[in-house]
Amino acid sequence: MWSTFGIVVLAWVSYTAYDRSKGMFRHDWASGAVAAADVLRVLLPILGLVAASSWVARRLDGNGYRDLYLTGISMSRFLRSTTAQVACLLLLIGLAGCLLGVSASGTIWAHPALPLPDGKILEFDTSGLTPRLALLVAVLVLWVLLGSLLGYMVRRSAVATAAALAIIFSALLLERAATVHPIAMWIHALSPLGASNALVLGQSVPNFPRSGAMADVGVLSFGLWMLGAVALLSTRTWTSYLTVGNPSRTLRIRTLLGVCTSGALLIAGFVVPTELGERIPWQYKAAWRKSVESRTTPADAVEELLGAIATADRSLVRVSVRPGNEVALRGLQTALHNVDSSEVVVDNLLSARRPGSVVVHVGTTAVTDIGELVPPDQFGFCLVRDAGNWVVLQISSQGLTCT
Amino acid sequence: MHLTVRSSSVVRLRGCDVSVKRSSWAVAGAVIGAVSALLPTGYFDADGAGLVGGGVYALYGLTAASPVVLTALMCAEVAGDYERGLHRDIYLSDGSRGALLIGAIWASAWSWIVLATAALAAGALVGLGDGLRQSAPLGWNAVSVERLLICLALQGYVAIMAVLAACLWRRSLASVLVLFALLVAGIVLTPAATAASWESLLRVLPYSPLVSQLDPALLGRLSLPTQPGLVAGVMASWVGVGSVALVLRSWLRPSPS
Repeated sequence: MWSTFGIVVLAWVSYTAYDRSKGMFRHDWASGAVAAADVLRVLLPILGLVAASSWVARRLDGNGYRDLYLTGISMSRFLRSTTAQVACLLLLIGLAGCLLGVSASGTIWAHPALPLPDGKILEFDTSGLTPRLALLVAVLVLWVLLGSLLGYMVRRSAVATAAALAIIFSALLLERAATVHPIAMWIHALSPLGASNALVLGQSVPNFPRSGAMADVGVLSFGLWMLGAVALLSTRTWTSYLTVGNPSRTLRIRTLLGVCTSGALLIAGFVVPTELGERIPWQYKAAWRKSVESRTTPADAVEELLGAIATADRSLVRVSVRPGNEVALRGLQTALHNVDSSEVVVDNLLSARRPGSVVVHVGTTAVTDIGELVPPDQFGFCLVRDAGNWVVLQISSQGLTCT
Repeated sequence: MHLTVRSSSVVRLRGCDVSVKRSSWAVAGAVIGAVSALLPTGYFDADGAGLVGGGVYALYGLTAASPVVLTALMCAEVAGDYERGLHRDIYLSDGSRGALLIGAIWASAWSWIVLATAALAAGALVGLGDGLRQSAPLGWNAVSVERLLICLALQGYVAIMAVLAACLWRRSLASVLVLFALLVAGIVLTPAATAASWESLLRVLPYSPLVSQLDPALLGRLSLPTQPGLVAGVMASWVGVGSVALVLRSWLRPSPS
């Protein structure tokens, strides 16, 4: 398993060390190390959380817990000794060092100094390496602490691992969703992965979308996570004192808790959806979905589009789609071909970020490289394929991207 | 150690464990259900979700959470039995290993039922609150029998895959990690696949049936629309592959490990 993990890391570091703008690999130690640090920044917190939660939970799993009790070592002493945390941390830092060295040297070994076309030495900024490594260790410590708390709370190795993986999985989903949904962007800044990204570089994971998380939000978020974990732990101790050895009292407390929770959920259902709908700007709201559903025939949507195009200068219609959205492209080309007499130019520009969406630009001048219209007297249509219809999402006279 | 264990006694064997954990599963379920019902009611239901609608949203949330939670439950119970050597003990005492397996599956299914019930109750309460504001307390709008059946089928598929993985690897941690790696592979590959036309490869990954059934408006760039026939085919193929691997494993290594 560890060898597979090492190969994955090496491949990832090599990919990160590839300079796409120059079409070649960076080939000095410093850039190899920076690339490795960037990869470890993502991998190590994940590994730290999973390893710490799984190891601590394994110590407490089944007989381990009883053994601790029988040998006279109390749980609080076990936790106070922090052996588990320190061991996790040392192991992970050692692993980080090994991976860093191996992957950096592996990058150089696999791609020895290539001559640059212009004969110059590739310049690379190494000033960011030391602060990056320092923050990496700080973030690692926090993740290991979180993992230890999680393992202590769950006390079963497999369940603790799964809980850690669930946290990471939801954070990954949030990373992805943060490009589309403002609400996800808000939650992302408070998720542990988003928080550690914010702490390390003030931005998102490489190759993942930027989510606008800030470093102070990251610190706040980590503090909240720690506080929440400690609060949960103390609540469990507190409730166990309340309920121990008295069944009727336990029942009463549980009934009270149940009634309070039900009431809180009812109130939340009454209040929160309105707040969410009003405060967070998101275009795919219930009203939008209703308007989509009201357009029943494909002809309506196409007619709407062409009618909108007809109001603008139709000397040039530019259609840009995401690579891979050929189905959307063909559908729109057919729709335009049937009625339209204008010139249709098709580009593969990366401007439509929703799946199945296309951006139609109408104007007299060409579209810029990034798919935006600069002159103000032009129109853009953002369309999306929904249940067989072409639906106009946005019409704008400014540069337009489907978000 | 002379040991005869049957499915019912396996549950009783862990009775103390289950009773301690039951409240934790209920709390986890309530959180999943409440969040699953709170978010969509703000965006998708202009008329209010209602009691039934909230429950339906909670079921969607449960299905989305099942690859991680249900997998972990099944692997912890089924592979945990191998780790604790229960299978060997049962083999030595002439007991039925099938009964032990069924007992482990039932124990984890029971935890999932507790979690799901709490999630549905929490979702229904949140939906009721939303529905009361819009004076539509029941809210049958969101109910689609087809979608509900798809959700149940997906949860069943996840459970079967987890049991197969646990029986194959016999280590709870390894099984969870392997399944999780497959899950993350789907997420990481999605943008690359849409850019490089690897979509056909992505559609046959074990967890792509789940991804394909989620709403594109929720998933954004992650969405993977797939034909229903292909989804069913992919699910059947992976269950078939897992079963064949299990048969091969027991054929090649017949003795209990």
